[in-house]
Amino acid sequence: MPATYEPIATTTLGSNVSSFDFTSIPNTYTDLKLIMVLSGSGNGAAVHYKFNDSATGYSMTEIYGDGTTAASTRETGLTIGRFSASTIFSLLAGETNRTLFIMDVMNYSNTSVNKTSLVSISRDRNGAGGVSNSVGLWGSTNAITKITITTNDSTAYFTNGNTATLYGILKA
Amino acid sequence: MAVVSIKNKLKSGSLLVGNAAYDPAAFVSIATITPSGVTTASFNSIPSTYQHLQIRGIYQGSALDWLGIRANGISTNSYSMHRLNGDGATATADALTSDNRIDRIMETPTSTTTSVWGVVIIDVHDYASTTKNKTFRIFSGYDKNGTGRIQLGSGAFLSTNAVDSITLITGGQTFNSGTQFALYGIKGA
Repeated sequence: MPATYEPIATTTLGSNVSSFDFTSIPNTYTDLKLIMVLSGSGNGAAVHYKFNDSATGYSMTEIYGDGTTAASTRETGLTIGRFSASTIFSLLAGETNRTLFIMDVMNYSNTSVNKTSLVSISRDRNGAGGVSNSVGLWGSTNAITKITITTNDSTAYFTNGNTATLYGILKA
Repeated sequence: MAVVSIKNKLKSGSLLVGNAAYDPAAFVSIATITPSGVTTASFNSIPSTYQHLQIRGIYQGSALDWLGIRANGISTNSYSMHRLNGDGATATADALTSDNRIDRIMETPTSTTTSVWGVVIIDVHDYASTTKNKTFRIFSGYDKNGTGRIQLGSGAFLSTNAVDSITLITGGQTFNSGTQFALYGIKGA
């Protein structure tokens, strides 16, 4: 029986890559928690995700602040999940400050519900940056067995040395 | 190595010298509730042996409604809240004071199919303290591919009593079958 809060896998990038995966995710937990500390280069490319290689059914509602303004936005009918619709958190050339992404995927293996996630993003560059909270929908009742994190842009990459850990959380 | 507790032992094996060390978990599942057709859902008899609590859940209702929080069965004006709210077009901030629940930080979506569920993570730090009022941190939202809401809120239970029960209460609608809330305890060092 798995523990209540348990690391499933940790990825440490050994080179600059445009995507990385968590595969063969067991269905024995209730929720997943993905924690990533990322930097990259891509001149404005956003950070995206996919579940089970699906290219359909993603949408999101977001609230974010950039140090000056608070705003809310929505994206619908996406072919890939987006952590943020704001350019605040896009990958920038020569970026050395890392951005924290935390994603809670609730009831990820429940085949009676479409999958809803809560996402928090934090980035500060001592004069620029922002904070974001969002809720994302993947319109599928399939259990999630794979998560892909991607720039969705062949010219953009995540930097060598970035880390991401996937945890499983099990209810009583 | 001192054994903190074997009550919730999650690993089999002997505690005898020479065997693998026992590592008691710091994040422990306490209980899960699955309300259906009712307007309230409660965690009762919460032990005081943890440092913090976390509730994680998915929920859906018979009608669009606000989901509130009460502690220890208190229904008098002992609560307040502040929230950030995003509806996909506008970001707003507001507050409620002297309320009979921590309110308006979780909106229940409705769905005639299995499709869309609200999700929430609620943190209550130092819930068993008898010298502090209690602060709840709530992160909730739902998305229906065209409508939805994302909220981040803080709520206060204006009492120094230890929290031994938490009730999630609707504004009148009932929880749909499939709704579930799980309570976790987080130990201190």
